[in-house]
Amino acid sequence: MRLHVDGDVVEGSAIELPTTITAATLRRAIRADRDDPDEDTLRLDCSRPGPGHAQLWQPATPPPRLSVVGLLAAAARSRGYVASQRDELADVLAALEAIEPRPTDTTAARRAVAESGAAVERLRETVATIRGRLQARRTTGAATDEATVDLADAIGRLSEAETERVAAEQTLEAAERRARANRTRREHRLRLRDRADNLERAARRELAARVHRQFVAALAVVPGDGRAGGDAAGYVGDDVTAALAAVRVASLDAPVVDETGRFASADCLDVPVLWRSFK
Amino acid sequence: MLLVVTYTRRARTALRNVCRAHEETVVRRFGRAALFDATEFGAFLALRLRVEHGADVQIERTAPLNEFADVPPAVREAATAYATRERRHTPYAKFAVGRGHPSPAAMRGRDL
Repeated sequence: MRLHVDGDVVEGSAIELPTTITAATLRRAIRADRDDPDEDTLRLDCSRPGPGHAQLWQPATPPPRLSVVGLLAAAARSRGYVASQRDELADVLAALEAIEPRPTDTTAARRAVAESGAAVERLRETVATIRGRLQARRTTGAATDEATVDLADAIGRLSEAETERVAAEQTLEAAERRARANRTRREHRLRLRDRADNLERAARRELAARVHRQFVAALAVVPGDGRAGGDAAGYVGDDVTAALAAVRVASLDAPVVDETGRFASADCLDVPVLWRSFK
Repeated sequence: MLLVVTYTRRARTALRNVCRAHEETVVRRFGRAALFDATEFGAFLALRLRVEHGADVQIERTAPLNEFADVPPAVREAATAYATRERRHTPYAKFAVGRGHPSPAAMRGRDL
């Protein structure tokens, strides 16, 4: 590979980096993103990164949520291994794309039912009150015309309110039916997502198992204390050692960045290396 | 009680966290669903989840079924008779016809 930096050109398979260059700049340079304003300060001519490179290129800081299984799965993919779950996973992901639960919100319908119900209750009380007034007037022989009119008016409004409530309840019922259908779609989607997660996990385990023997051999060669168990999950030791061994197992054409400070020369990794001193 | 059912992984995780943090309000847990006390606090916890996750959280209110108050005698009698039948392999539809119990179709058509 060839590194152009600050007007200088350096060529080789193990190049020391100036400490001023950030990891983000390096990643862009390795991926050769041409729209980078830093292009003037740094340009790297190297092979394009292939599968697994993104997980393995910084063994000093392995991705925090990636286990040894994940590292070895990346190494296996870089060697062209394909998990047996791939086709099924593709089907599940395609099915997931096809599901579109529509947004449902029954809040407005619920509120309408609650409000119309409250209105009915208020008007019932009003009617009862006026009836009482009318009755009291009759017994005292007072004039009842006004109260009679008021009562008829209130009964009319009550009847309207009751009709509105029935309508609101029917609207809510219809909205609930649509919401239920959408929930069924959501549930289906959740099941598919769980299935996809399980397939991805199984695929990683399968890929890691296929290179486990090479991992054991690599651990003996890279600097660091790490001991392999019966499978990738049985590894005991630090993340960086595991990541270095995974790099050695992998078949990477694009360079990795070594900031571990563990190497005098990183030849044992079997891959182009950009390195700098451990701070 | 309040039944809370979740429909995405994020909502399911949020429910799990709520259950862990407020055990005293959680009556039962079923993975992606849970039963909360029908108190204001139970409602508060459930509604919080719905505000955060929208339609991915379903909230229902449950009540114990009092079959004597809420279910017609014919249905109760049919249930008892069928559960205690002698010939175990008779499907209910056939069993009902022979003994004058309500048909499944008729019962499906009537709300409680």
